[in-house]
Amino acid sequence: MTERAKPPAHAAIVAPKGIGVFICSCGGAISRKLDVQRLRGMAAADPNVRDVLCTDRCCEEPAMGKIKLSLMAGDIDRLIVVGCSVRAAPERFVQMAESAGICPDLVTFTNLLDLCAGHPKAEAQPNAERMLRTAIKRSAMLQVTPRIDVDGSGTVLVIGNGPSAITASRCLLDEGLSVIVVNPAQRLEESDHQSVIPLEGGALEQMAKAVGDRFQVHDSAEVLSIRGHLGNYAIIWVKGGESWKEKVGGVIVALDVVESENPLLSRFPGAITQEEFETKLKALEKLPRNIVMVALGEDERAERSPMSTHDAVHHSMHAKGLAPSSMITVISREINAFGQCEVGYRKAQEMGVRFIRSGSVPNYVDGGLVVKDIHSGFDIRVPADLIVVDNYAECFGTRSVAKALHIPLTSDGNLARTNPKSRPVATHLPGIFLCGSASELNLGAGPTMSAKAAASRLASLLRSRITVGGNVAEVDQERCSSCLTCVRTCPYHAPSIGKEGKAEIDIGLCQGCGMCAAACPSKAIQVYSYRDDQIVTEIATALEEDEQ
Amino acid sequence: MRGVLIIGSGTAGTSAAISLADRGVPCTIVERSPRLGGLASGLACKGRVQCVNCDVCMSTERVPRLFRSGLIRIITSSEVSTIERDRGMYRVGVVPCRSIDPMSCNDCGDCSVVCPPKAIEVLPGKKGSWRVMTSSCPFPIEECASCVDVCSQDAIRTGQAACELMVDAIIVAVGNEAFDAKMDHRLGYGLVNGVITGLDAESEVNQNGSLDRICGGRPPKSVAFIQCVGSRGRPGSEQCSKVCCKYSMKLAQSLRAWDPNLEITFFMMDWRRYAAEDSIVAWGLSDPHLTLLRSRPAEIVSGSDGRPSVRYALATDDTVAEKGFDLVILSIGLMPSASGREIAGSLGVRQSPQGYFMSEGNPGRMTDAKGLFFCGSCAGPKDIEECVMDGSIIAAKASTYLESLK
Repeated sequence: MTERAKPPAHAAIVAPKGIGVFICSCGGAISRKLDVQRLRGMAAADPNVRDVLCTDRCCEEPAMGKIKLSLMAGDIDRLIVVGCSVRAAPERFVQMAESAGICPDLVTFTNLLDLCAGHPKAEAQPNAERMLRTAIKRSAMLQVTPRIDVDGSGTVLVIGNGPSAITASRCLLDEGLSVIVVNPAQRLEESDHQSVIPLEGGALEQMAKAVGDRFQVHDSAEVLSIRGHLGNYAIIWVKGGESWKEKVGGVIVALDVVESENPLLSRFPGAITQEEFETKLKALEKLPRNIVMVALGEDERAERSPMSTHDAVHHSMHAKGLAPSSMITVISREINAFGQCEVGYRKAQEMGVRFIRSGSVPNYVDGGLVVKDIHSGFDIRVPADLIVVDNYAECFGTRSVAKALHIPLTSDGNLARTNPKSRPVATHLPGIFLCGSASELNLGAGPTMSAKAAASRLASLLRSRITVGGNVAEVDQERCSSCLTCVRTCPYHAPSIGKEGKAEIDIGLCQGCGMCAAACPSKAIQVYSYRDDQIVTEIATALEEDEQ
Repeated sequence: MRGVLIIGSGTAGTSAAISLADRGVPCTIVERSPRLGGLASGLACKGRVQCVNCDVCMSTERVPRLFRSGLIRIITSSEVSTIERDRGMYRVGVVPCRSIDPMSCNDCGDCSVVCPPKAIEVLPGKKGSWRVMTSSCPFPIEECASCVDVCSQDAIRTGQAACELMVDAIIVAVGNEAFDAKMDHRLGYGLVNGVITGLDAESEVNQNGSLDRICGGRPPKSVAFIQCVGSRGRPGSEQCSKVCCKYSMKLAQSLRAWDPNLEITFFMMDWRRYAAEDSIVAWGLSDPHLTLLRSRPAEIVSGSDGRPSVRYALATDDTVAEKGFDLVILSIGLMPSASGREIAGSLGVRQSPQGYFMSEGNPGRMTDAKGLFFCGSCAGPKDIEECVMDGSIIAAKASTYLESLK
């Protein structure tokens, strides 16, 4: 099991020295709807509030400087920013507060801008007053949350079967980390014909030789479970009936696509795959006169797996160059020629390759294909001496990885990312990244690129200071009756029974969800910043009669 | 360590800077425009009902992170003038470009009238509209100061003072420019009322929440999307811009969320999408009020009712059809940026015939021994996701390079 991240000694709730309240008019967006001076008067009346400042555009430099000065001058140890909803601003305030010597845990935000946008004027003012009153009460009861630095392991687990796993490992090794590859397949596929930059043969062995112990590959193995947090994950994996344990800093899931046979291969007599056709091209074999490439499929797998017209474009161009007299036809619904590939597509057309668009799979009728053209709606007969079909690309093994690593699956059966746009390779678990085709079917340069990005993100996380903690749960040892309710309830396996026979929370694992606190029959568990007394006071304040 | 210079603060540049700062490498961002965030910062969130992964939260989420780290220095409204190799490092001259201070600008429009290259455009802002200097102003301040002279508010800034930086490595992330739809006269952009570009539509939605203002205050009843404007042929880029199919379909989906009966017509060549957009394709094919026409329109003219009218031909018959729409949206593509060419010139590196930075054998590196890197869409059209990944990949490479110097 992982080393437990122990919380520091109980952080006592100290009486606030003083609260600073800063009310922003947000260029009129707030002050037009609300009586800011009334809010100011209300805040100033609270005994805990030391300073109230009304400014315009709090998030910009002049106002920010003014707030900082007032924070440093007064006897203030906590801060309430009353203003905007922009996700951007909080970070700047927290940073400013930190530089003025205020703990980030003691900074609270009250979002009046959304209130102003969503409510008529008459409702907005009493609501704003209620929100501010609650915020002041809440701020007075905040406490510094436990945070501790942990030493991260310099080993990374890569789960993968192909080029993206190799690329990720190579990048991690370059960054000075150690890599364990757990490969669910029988051997690591060094290159696949769909990746734009294939590895040269034998690259894997060379790589292993160069770094020695730092690189291990375990084929036909599977990860069973994982526990822990960034920098300190304990993994259990099995190989040939034997189970192994290892401590790693982070995990990269680098599953690649595997080709599975397109049923059209057996439907069309003498049909071959694009891969086989490429071999023919490389061997400079004599090509037949009429070649037809079909980049279509007819079951639901064809919908999911993007048929690689990229291959068809390049192979047809190549073949036409080798045998200019041959008649080459590509049948596909769309020609996916992104970026530079468009230039190749144009060149192929200029060389005389025919592209026919069809929504349905063509029929084989004595020595030729009959295809329905979607432009004209006509049936076109294409003579075919050789038919080339693209195989399906599918990614297997996401389900078992999802189970072992506790990563949710999307409706398509892929591993889910937190935010595909701003964190394209990250999962909701810090230190666990996805690349290759683990999160979506990725062809072309995609797998290599995402592998490098995942390796880069993880390496920079492991190299910087790793801090765990925050708003976590805490057990009152006096009250704990060791009933194991919390141990059974927690989805993150954070509580366990310690040496004294009482429950303890691993603050590295705790996500602050509060399930244990709600379930504990002895009321022995509280969550930092969301303690019962805090919540009760907040509710009571919010429900107080409005002062007239 | 003197750190890294990043030219451009678009998605890739921002991502590279954040990743470098995460690794403890100091960096400086030089951005030509007064705003950070690049092309993506002008786009609108298209997730009306639920997130459609349209990328736009990117600029609101990433740009502020630049300020959080103490290691990132930001120089806006400035451009790189000279790059010289000096004892294993780079001596970089940064000169201010002109910009307009939005706080002082009262939108009187005097500067737009006097500007010889017409390099001032109007941007709608929260306080009312304001004017911005586009990057097309070619004159140094000594040669042309007409805007400065005419401004009654003293709002024209000549940027921060010129400065010189010493850096160990340079990351070029100048990105792409949107195709100027005026270059394709047939499509009537700027001539016919109701013809706008995808970028216009996005910024209009961003600022005003709907497209009603463009259609004379009424919500549009019929909208046409013209695909591949400025991509896949002249005028414009010969390449496929990769992003237009995606953004226009997502925009259409977002318009549909407003009006379930809106007639949407796509004029397209190929429907190009990544695997992840399958659900959107399925939506496009199943929507009863959405028509996909495989045709490249010949021209767009002003119809007798004042609405834009699209002339096109279909493969199925020989006649020329003409159809009026309330709104025509041109899905403009990406073009290599002009500043990329200048920088390639001053660094002495080759570009592809299309004007993109080329990697010679080693992806992302022009000449890796010298600490010159490039990332993002200046190496070919990329979507936001790819730019984010590319930025962090190059950051890793650059920091490995800096370590090798020690």
